[in-house]
Amino acid sequence: MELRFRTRMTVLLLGLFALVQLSTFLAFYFATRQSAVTQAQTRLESGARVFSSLMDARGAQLLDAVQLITSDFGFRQAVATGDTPTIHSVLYNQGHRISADLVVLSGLDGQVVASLDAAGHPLEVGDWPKLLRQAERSQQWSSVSMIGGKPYQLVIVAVKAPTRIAWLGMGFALDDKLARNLKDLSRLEVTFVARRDQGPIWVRSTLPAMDVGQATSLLQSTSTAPIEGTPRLSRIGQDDYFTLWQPLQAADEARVGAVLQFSRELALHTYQSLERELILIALLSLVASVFGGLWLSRHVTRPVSRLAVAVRRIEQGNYDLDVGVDREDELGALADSFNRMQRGIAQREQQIAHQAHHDSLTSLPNRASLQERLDRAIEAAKAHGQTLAVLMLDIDRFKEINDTMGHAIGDRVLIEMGQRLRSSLDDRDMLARFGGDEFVVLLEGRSGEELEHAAEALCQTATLPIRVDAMELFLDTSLGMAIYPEHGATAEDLLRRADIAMYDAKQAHVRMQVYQTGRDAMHLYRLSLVNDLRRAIPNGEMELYYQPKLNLNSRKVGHVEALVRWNHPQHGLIPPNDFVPLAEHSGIIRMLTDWVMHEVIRQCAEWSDQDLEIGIALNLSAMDLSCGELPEVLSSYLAKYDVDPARLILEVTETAVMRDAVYALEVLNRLRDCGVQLAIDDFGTGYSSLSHLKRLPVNELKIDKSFVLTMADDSDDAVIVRSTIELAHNMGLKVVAEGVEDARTLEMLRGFHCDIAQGFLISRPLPVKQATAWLLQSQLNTFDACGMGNQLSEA
Amino acid sequence: MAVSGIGRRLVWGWLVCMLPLAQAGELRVHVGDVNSVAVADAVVSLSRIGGNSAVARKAPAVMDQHDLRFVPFVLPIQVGTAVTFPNSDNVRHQVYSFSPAKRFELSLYAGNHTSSVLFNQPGIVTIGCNIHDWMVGYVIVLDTPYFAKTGSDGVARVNDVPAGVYEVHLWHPRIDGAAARVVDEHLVLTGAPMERSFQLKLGPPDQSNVPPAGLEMGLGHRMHPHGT
Repeated sequence: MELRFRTRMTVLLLGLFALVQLSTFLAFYFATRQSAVTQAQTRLESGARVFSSLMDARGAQLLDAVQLITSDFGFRQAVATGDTPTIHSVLYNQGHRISADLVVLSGLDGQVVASLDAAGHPLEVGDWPKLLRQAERSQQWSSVSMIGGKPYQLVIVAVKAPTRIAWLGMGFALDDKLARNLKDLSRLEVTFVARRDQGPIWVRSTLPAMDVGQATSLLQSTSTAPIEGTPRLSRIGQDDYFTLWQPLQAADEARVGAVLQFSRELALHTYQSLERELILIALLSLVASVFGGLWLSRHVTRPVSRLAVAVRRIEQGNYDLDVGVDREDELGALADSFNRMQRGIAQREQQIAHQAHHDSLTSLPNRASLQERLDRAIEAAKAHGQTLAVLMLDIDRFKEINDTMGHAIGDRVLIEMGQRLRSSLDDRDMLARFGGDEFVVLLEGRSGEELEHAAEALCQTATLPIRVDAMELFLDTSLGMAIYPEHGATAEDLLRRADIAMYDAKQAHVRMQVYQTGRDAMHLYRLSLVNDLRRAIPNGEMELYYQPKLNLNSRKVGHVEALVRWNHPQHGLIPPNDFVPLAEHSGIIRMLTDWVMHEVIRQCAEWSDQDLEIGIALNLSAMDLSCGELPEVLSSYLAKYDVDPARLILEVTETAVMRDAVYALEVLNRLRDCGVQLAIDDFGTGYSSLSHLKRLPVNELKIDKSFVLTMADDSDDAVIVRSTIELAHNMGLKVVAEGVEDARTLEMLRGFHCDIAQGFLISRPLPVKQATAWLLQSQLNTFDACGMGNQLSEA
Repeated sequence: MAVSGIGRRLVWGWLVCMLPLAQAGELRVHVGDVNSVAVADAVVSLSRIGGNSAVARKAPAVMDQHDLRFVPFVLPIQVGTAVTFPNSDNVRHQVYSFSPAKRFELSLYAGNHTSSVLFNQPGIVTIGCNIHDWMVGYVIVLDTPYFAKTGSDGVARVNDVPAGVYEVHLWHPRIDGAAARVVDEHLVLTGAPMERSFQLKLGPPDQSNVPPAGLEMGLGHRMHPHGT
């Protein structure tokens, strides 16, 4: 296309130029031709005038000479007396004086007395009397006459003494000399042509090429088509001549005249040099215009083609080179625009590429770029027989930060975390944000020990308090590590297993966990459980078990703890420890809590109908505390079943309260406002301080069973239990001891003034039917002996 | 008026033979051109056939030069007559003749030329002036005393011609040829007056003896002025 454009442009320019040149030249050509004809005509006409003048002048010269002779008395006397020698001498003398070619003296009867040529020799004058008969009518007579086959300009004058006594004729020949003379004057080619009747033709010409044949045809053409006035083109020899026939008054019906000719070449001569110059100029300017056209088209199209090349280059994604059209005109401006556009595209593409490979929040490489890098790293590690480690780290309960403090804070936490992690790594290590609060670190070329150090350093850094505005956040992180080639040969395996290890770490409440072979099967199991969990409640797979809580003072059972059980269709009964974390992790926990709350309150109402005024405790997850709707939902259920809120005890772990203390406190306060009782579960496993505990609106404290189970044999635990009980009592809280499995422990607790005991000693958790029966039975008895509980539970 | 004819001459010849010689008579000759216009300056002369001519009168004749012309234009004389060529103009003239009958030249002169020119040979002498080309005059030298010149009326009267037989010659400057023409070979004169008419075929005037128009301006007359 570019070539065609250039070609077309060049051709157009050339065509226009050639057209102009051609028309100029044609105009010039025809004008000069016309001008040459006009010039020739002018020349010929002026030549004809010169010729006429010359002839007149010569006629006058002849007449003068003749009159001079005839007026001479001596001559007349000589003529009258027939003095022939004198006559001859006079005739020769006077003829010679004017270079006459012919002098004739004759008697009145035409008898020639003397006839001389230019050299003075006698000359045969032919039919002189015939000429005289024409001359007789006037005193003097001049004409062109054929004498001896030659044309003469002849003047005949009567010799008078005083009457006519003789005739004197004098003439000039129309010969080469005259022709040359005339040519000198007129600068025309002169040919004298004469012919009498059908006699031989007389030709004298300044043109060497003019021969008798030419002259004959000329003469014939003049007789058929008169050419006087209009120059006609005749070819004489090799040249063309503008020809004008100038007839002369001739005697004896002779045709005599001068052919005046002007060479066409001569006429065109001046124009020819002009024409040559014009052609030269035209050719030169044509060549110049060819180059000019080429230059112009290149000048225009080269930048265009460069732009085209640049566009193709840009299309292929190469933005490094400028278009390279450095001009001041529109094309230059276009090229500048191209360059700017190209830089803009490059910049945006870089941006896009960066965005494609980086996380916009933390500017860390994203999952995709990690995947690429990991693939390459695995290739490299495979090639060099090296190991590499994939570390996955997330922030425990990060969702709660987002939910309770807002995403802006959450984002700042992530940014800060990213920066911290990055700063604790070498440059060669890769840190990527994998999504959400998950970060992945890729460590290459480290020994096992170095890996441990690096992981430890990461954990250390990650758990330092983060300051957000005026707040300091204490974050827990979990880190899982998978090592190539030990734990997987592909990026996918390594990442998944690092994730599993991280999950395990979280489960195990440890900061860091290296992947353990086979854990992914467990993980898969858990994943399937999460799926099943969603259907568990609608399918009625969930069931509440109730474990009685013995009031050690009244020796009566006034409360039970509701414990959820999952009857999985395939896996059978699944303990809460297995699925509750999954439910929390997957968000199903709220649905579960809701179901449990509803079921518990409904059960309360049902038992009331059976005159069992039993309070029921249920467990709330940490996530439940982040749900602000919980008090309202609870109130609505209580109202629905007309259950005394005081019969309900909501148990929360101290870690759940600690996680988002401010919000949790608010929710707890609102729950207490509903009239329900609140208990701290698993007390002693967390890090909550007593001062913090004091602010909580709780009614009772449940000592974690890990202390209770061993207190009978471990004096330290017994001390802790007793101290806790005393402390709680001092704070006005009732104390519940879980995990009471033997009478001795029960007795110890009683000795410690523990308020309530719960455990297998009293009863295992029972399905609702058995629990109801157990409770009905228990109403009849008091717990004096340890064995009773067992009996009951077995019943 | 056409009278020339063989029959008529025969009649006249017979009449002449019958009649005795009588006294001289007058011959009136009318000369006209082909258009019957009267021709002046025609010279009629009669030559006697068989018999001597009478004594010549031989009185001197004059051909004047007046107003740049020869006057008279035609001067018939008898052989042996001397003619003077006076110059009445105030310009000079050079009178000449190249005629075979009499060749002479009166070199440039003014006034009367002392000498006269004797014409002793019959013939027609054309007189010219070498200075004034148009001037022409004719002296007709005749060997008979019987001649006359027509006037402007075209009539010539030949007087005192004895009875006899005559040959009649007629000449005029414009007749074809130089010599006089015999118009009647056998004219019988009885002494009684006779009239004849002749027609002449005249050519164009060769010389008119008339000066170019306007040339007379400033010219005066040296001698006795002629009547115009």
